[in-house]
Amino acid sequence: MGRINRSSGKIQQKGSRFKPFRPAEKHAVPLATQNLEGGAELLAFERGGKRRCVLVSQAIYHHLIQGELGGQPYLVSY
Amino acid sequence: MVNGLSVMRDEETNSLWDHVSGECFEGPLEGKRLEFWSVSLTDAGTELAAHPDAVLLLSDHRSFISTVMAKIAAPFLSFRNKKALLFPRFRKTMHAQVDPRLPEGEQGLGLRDEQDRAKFYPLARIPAGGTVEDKWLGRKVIITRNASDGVAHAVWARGGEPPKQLLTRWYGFSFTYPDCEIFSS
Repeated sequence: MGRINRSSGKIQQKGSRFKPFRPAEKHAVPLATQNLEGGAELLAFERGGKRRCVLVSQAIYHHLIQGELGGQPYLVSY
Repeated sequence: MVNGLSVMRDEETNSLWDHVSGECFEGPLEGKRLEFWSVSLTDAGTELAAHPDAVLLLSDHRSFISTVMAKIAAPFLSFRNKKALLFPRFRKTMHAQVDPRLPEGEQGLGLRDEQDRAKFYPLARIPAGGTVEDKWLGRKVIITRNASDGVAHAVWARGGEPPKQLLTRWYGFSFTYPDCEIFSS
């Protein structure tokens, strides 16, 4: 197994037009109250015994969701 | 972007990080690696059935780009789409052709370990609602594919712990782990 090969990959641009999502308490809502279609795609993750999810339709813009959960830092990438 | 994949840049050192492997590949932190946790891709129906009290982190950011991506691009980027949405500007960042062993957009479950040994399990080879067993790194691994969301998850047969895993398309996984094995049913 070789090492990850990125040596000749091309960096297209540095910098980003996308803003990471840094959730605060006000952003945490019960999933059941959102009237989402059953097929609405989610990213679900757990830290410190707690579970949270984010909408894929939002993650494709933010690309990064960064915060703290259960006293532990997390960084979700998409 | 490298090899059609977004890269992360940290604000403190401007180092660039591979978002699949968590490895820093350029900048002052080159060679460092983030601790890796698996994130589950699922859907609202499945999540609520398993976790009725599920908590959603709902972004209130609104902009033209975010709206376009949520309303127009999202359906094309769905993991249920059989083809990858690879714009020409994505392809320009690729250093080589996508590994031809599988179609570039093939969706699958990728397993990896800390030594970058990796194996790709195409979803098409795992029956929805079914289970397959395999041997990887000398251990038996069980892959289960949920009937409701169609997503696969892996656990080690002994102990039930999950190996490090991610649901991903072939082009991204094969660029990150070019010598990976491929599961054949």
